[in-house]
Amino acid sequence: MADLYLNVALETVHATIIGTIFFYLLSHGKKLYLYHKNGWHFILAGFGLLFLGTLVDITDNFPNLNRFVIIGDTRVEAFLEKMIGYTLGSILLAIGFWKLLPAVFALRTSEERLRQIIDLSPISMAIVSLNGTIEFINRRAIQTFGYLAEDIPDMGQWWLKAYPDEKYRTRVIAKWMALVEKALFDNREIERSEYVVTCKDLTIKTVEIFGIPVSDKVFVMFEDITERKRSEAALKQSERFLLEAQEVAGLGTYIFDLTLGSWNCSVILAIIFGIDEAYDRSFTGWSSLVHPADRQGMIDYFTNEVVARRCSFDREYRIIRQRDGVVRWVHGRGELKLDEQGKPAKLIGTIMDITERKMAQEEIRRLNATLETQVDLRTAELTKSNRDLASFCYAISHELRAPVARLQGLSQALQEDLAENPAEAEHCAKRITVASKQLQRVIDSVLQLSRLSQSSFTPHPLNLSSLAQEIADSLLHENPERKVEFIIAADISASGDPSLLRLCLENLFGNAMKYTVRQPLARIEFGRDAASGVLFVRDNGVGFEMNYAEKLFEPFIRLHREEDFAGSGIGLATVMRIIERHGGNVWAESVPGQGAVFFFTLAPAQSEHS
Amino acid sequence: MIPCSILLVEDNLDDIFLSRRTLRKAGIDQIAVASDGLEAQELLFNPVLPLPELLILDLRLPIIHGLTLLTELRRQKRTMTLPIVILSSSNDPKDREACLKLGVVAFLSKPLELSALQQALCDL
Repeated sequence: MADLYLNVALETVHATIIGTIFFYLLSHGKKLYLYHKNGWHFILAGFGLLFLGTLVDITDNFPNLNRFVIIGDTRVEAFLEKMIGYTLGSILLAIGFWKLLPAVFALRTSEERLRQIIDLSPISMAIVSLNGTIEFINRRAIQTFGYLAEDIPDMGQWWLKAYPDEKYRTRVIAKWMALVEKALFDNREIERSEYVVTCKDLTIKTVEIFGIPVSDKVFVMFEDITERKRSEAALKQSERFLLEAQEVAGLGTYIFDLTLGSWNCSVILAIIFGIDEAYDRSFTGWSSLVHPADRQGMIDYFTNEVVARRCSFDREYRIIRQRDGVVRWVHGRGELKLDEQGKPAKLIGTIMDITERKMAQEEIRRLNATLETQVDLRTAELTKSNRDLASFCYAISHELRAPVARLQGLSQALQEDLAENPAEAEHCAKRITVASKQLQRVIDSVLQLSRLSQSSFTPHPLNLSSLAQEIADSLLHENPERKVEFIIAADISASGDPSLLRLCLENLFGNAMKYTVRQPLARIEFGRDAASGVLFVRDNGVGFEMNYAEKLFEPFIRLHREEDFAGSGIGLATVMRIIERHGGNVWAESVPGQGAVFFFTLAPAQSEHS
Repeated sequence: MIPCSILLVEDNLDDIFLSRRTLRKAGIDQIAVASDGLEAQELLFNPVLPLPELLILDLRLPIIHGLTLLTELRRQKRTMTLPIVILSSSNDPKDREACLKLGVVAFLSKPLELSALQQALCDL
């Protein structure tokens, strides 16, 4: 009986050992690197049959199980145990190991080779077992981080040293563990991620870490991206500077792909064109932006010059800004890029908004043009006034010489006649007085005329009717023997210089008084023509021949004998000068013997408009 | 030679008075006066009237200027060779030159002086 129990216990231990091996291989086989090797299945099957044999072996201790035929102390049980279980299992095991052993040896050598390769790899690498032991770190990794293998025997040390900041370390550990777990679960590589690692010499490096789990190990790889990061940051900064510079300069950039017939542009160019994302960025899209007046010319330029003759694009043209329909000037430049066959492939360039510069240029051009016309105008005025001055000097010298010569002659005659012809002497003396008065009058009026040319001009709104009435009143007062009827229209207003216009009307009324002296009833009329607005002074005096109408206004020209109508000879010249200074015109009409009309215009009074 | 008939073209009464006085001193009494260019033209171109032996012409005349009248006289056959003396208060060299070109005997300045008149008459 004791023998039976011992036997069962021993056989159960035997079965348990074999069973444990079998189930371990069955469940963990997938993780073992032998899994895919030849012979593995034979080994599994061998252990399985051995396990079956040991299980059945236990049952032969209980003869009462014989009724089940295949277990208990039966022949079938013995066959299963000895033949199928032990013998076949051992055969299969032998076959399995036979097949597997070379692979195991090969693996050992290849693992060593692998370590050598890893050690020489230009990539920083480490082999870490799943329990956290750092089995191996390659030379490159030692170079990169400065840590030797004894510095970081396990992950705990690595983490402590590589991530001295506790908060960051906690985060990194959590991230790494999660990524490893995910990789094991999905049976794929550990995702690439960025870490900031503190090296042994305390420099900081930005590193991307990733890895591949292989059975119970993880091959960890490190890529030092510190330089890349730095140049990326520098690039980003210079890109930002470029963008800002372009924005400040109003400089947009574009690339026009000629093979695709479409273009891309910078944000600045989109702003210059006033277009949005949806705008048609094709050749037609561009040409329809161009101002209609420039469009055909620009299309021809693009096709016949730039593309056909491989020229650079360099033109100033107008566009209609899409956002608001405003006309803007732009300066487009571009360089043609050719493909391998020498055909135009791309046009790359810039477009700058030059509207403000164009407008300034236009303004300068306009100013220059007006300046030239102004200079021409002034020169013409000056030439005319020089000519006027020359003829005026000629006239005035005669006008002054004549009375002087007369005075000379009369005074000589006076001397001669004084003794022998007292009557004639008296006549000479009287005429001397008259001649000197004449001389004085000429001098006075010449002075008046010269002052008129120099005096400053200040236009005011004026009531010409009341001015005319004042002059008429004083003329009537000075000539009480004359019968003169003044007809002055009411409410004639104009803009002008009060003293100049008074002088003008005095001259015109004085003339009218003079030439109506032989009329029993003189009529002098001042009015405004209702239709044309032209002002006039009409008299019923002697008038003049229309042939001489223009000569009237030249200084010192007389149409009548001096004896008949005394005058300075420059009254109408004065009138003309005054009217011209007011921007108006003066002219005269007459039929001899039926009076004369002097017409004149002035700049209209401001008050009439406002 | 002393001309017996003279036409004086002058508009100013004082100048007429002074010229007459000098001419009288020179022994010339037949003096006709025209007080403007038009009147002088009418007198000279009238075929019924005899031409004067000498014409004394002022330049600054109303209606027709002396120079215009002179040019016209030189163009007309009747007066082409008429002796003419210019008596003007002008001393403008341009006037003088223009008149001398048109063949005047003398260009005299006002007032008319006896010696200058006599010199001019000698040149006739």
